[in-house]
Amino acid sequence: MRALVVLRRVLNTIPIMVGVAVVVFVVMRMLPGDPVDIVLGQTGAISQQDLDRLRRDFHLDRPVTEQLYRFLAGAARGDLGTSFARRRPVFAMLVEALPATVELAVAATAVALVVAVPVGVLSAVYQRSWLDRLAMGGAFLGISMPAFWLGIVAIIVFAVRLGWFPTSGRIGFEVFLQPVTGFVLLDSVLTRNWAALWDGLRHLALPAAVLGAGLMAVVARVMRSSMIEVLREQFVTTARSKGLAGRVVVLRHALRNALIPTVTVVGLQLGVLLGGNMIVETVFGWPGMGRLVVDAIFSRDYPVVQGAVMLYAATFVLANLLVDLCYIYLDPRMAL
Amino acid sequence: MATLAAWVPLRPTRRAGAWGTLARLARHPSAMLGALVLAAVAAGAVFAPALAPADPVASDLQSRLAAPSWLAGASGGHWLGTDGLGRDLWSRIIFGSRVSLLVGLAATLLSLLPGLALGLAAGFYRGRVDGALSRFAELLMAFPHLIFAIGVMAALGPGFWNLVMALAFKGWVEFFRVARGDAMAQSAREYVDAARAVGASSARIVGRHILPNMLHTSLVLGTLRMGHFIVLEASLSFLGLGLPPRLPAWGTMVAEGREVMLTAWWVSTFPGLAIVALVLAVNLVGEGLRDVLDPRLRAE
Repeated sequence: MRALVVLRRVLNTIPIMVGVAVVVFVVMRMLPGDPVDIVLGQTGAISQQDLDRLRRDFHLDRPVTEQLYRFLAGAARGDLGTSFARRRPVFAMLVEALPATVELAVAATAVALVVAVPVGVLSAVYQRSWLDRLAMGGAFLGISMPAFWLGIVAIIVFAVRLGWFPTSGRIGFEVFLQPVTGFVLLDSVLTRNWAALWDGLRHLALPAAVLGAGLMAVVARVMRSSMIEVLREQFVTTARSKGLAGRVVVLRHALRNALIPTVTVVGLQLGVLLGGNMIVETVFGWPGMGRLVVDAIFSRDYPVVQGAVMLYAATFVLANLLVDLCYIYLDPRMAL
Repeated sequence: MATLAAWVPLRPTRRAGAWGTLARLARHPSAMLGALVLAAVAAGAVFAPALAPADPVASDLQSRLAAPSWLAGASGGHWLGTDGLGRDLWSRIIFGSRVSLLVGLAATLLSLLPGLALGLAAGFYRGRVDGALSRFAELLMAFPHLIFAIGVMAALGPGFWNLVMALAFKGWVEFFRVARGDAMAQSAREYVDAARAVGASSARIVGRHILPNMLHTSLVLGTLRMGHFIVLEASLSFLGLGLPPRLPAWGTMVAEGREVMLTAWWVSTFPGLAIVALVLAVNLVGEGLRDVLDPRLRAE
């Protein structure tokens, strides 16, 4: 019974992904400007023959329905077309940009959780104390603050004024790093290049903190409210009445249960993290997918935008699927 | 009946209706703070031509990047300084409030009204229309809002209504989902059966009985979403995908300041502070309304 529900939920994502592909395709066709003109705009004088050949190469001379069919069939095989601007397979460009984005997202999530979980727990345990008020005030400020402004202020204060961190980029030009996996931190550990590790960490610190700030605020608030709820449960009272120390009750008994809604929220906030990374990557000159998309939109490089948005949507759909499956696992009533 | 009991006022003296809500909101200190800031920004937007000390778009290359007048060694007498074209920042911030408020308000209304109407219809009548609408909503949910809005803005080009449409085209989904769930729950209540038993038409049941029970939730959700829309508008403007760049919008101003942040920190900082203040105020009012009207929504 449960397996059937899970299977149905998993299969349900297929029509959604097809729908996503169609929506992306339609929106991209609405964009003004002929892509061929844009590609050739940089090369100057060109004959009508070349123009026609280019149109044929990109199948722009075929009916829109056929273009859509080609796009969907290609996407199903992992072929996302060729970049207009750089004449390279979109898939390869995305794979190249992915490690930078994943590295930043993982670091941001880590920063957010490391700060927000203890703060949420302490706020719940010492409810209505000055610490609670301060933390929740900070969290409220955090959810109201746009990432692009926070990023710029962080650069002005910590990079320009104090000089603690570099202003942008992923690793300094003067640092040599042998690429292995594409992840700067991982590669520098693998090649035992400690200078590169230090430089990579210094570059990562500000963007990760800025991207993580929004998530941090949300997690601290959810952590606090679910912890308050759990602390009222009978099993907590039982644990206390057994004479267990307050710390043991909070960390062993209550925290585990209070973490469940937090995990859900982290999963659902992934979309915010993905959207935020376009902004944060632009502000910090971080060479990931977010910046790739923003650049591609301005150069009207349809295939790159299509591919990247599909990848974003796929990640988001997958995250929602995982959250739902967690729910079914944690609370079998959801399967009904 | 247990759920109905929860809706019976706890104190019989509590006044009902809009005045009662306002009175309770007035005793909510953080909501009042938010309302005050919001009122100040709204006043600034309405009376901008009278309040602004200078023309917000007039450039004066003689006084480029002048520091705020209260800083040591500043010259030029511009309270918040000037930007790279010598335009008075304080005047631009006052005029910029119009963009944030109008876009936020219009996007909220154009999300709330269709979302509420469609959600009400889908939740009450169910059937095929509900199925199709719900699938479409699910499809839109697969896109992070900012990414979707960036794509739509790139397609439509800059402009006020394009900006509002880019936000509302996905924004209605949240209202739809909440309204649909509410309508489904309400139409299963006994009072709906009772109304039907005495011969009330579907339209009357929806209009007189179900809709009034959902307005609180929509109002609270609408206020909280408005803060979100204002941030999205600012983010799009920051990327150069908002209004035409000659109009002062806070997000555009932060982007302009980014180019001179090494020498003139104030150009980005103050417009950004204005965004934070406005969004904070809207969110404070929203949370206050939620505490007063709809404590159920508190579970995040």
